[in-house]
Amino acid sequence: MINANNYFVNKIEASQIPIKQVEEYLCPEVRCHIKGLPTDFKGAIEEIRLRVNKPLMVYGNYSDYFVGTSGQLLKNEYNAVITNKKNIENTLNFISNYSMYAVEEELKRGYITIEGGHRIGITGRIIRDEKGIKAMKEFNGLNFRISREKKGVSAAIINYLYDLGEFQNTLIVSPPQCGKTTLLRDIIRCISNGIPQQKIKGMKVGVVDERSEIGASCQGIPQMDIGIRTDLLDSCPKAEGMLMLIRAMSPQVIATDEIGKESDSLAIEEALKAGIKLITTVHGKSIEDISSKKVIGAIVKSRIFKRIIILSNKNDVGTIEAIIDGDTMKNLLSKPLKNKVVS
Amino acid sequence: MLIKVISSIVIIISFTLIGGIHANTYSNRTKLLSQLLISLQMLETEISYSATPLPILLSNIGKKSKEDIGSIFLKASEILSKKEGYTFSYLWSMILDSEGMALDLYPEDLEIFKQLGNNLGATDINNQIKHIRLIMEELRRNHEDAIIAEKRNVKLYKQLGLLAGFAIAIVLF
Repeated sequence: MINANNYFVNKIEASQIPIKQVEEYLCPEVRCHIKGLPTDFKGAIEEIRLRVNKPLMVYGNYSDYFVGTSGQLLKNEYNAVITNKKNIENTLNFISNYSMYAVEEELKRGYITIEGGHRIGITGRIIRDEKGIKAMKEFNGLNFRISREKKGVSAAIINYLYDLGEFQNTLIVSPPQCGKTTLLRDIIRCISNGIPQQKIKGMKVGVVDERSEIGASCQGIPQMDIGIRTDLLDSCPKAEGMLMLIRAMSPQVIATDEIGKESDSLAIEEALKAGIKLITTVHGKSIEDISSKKVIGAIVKSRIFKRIIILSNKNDVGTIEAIIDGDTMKNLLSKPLKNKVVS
Repeated sequence: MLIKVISSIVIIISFTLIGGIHANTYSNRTKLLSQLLISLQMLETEISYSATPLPILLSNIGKKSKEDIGSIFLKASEILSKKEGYTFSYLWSMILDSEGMALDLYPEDLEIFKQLGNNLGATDINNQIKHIRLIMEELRRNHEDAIIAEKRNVKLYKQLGLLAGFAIAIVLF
């Protein structure tokens, strides 16, 4: 059935699946402009932005462009397509599957995740009551963030995270936009599936996904591959979620994103008491940087984390600067790893 | 003579049937309107309690409703799932324009039914419920009118058919 020719065609199409998935949700007027974008740009596109009475914009290949009527990329806005309120309202109707009443909670949070794990940010007028944000109405902008699953980004470092076949508590330290969630997700997948080549068995992983970024869940179902032994609590506060998982799902490893609150450290203690391994992330540039922070600094000083991964985007997104052994505070890497994975 | 008798009988029977068929349109309208009210009630319940997305919701309602009304919901659900990029109000009025003619509904009934599409799915739960209730209120008024018209006209047209048959038969005899 599969011949070489066919395979080649499929491969080209595969890089464009994400944009195809997103196109379905755009209103017809905007959709035809986006369909006309150059093919190679479609493979690299990261964002599509619609703002009321402003030009239609796309972001990809490290710069943003305006979009012309037949999909050409423009550097200035003079001939760009202007998106209006109607476009945004219609697009929102498609995003919500013609059911705005079913996405009230998502609107309150300001984003909707669609099939394929793509996330759509929404802005508009907020309606408040005494309990806080009640609803969002009169929408003025949409941002389609196209997600590309980068399977295999942890391949180069996963071995460092095991010591004598045992997974070590790991902390990922990274400035924003350096691929920390992507790396975390891939590590979770590897821990959960196990690494047959190294004779490392898969472990039960519990994920508390407070901001729905790790699994990119759409209606509760993770859209990203997070492994076969993974249980995920979507949109759940970290501290409560960790305790829930410990009680209910008997995980061997617990993974969360961005710890830093007082309550988190209590939950971490609880998890360690139960003999559960941890993997988590924190915003920061270096060990010194995070040591000065109150909660996370104390945790690092108590030597709970045996492996600390430092990320940066000095050379490219996702460069691994160092992997530090938490006991000896020595760097396990001889030089920074450039870790760009082309999906 | 025999031919005259037979043709008179045929004339009487066919006129009675015509009267009956016309009378039926009145009772059909009442039936359709009451089915429609039931379907809208289901719609309201589903939206307020389970927040089911519209394409699935419409197909559920379509399956539970009686044939004529159900097919409209099913058709809408089918087109929505194709994600061709139509807005719901456009699609709904398109379906009603093509399918609604075959129903024994008055244009004013269809107009109200069409209004359902203007807002369905486009607002939050509270507004959806208000919108559906408003439509139901208007349909209920038409339903009551339809019942009155049915009572008055069904008997009338059945008898009128019979009598017209007799009258023509007598004239021709």
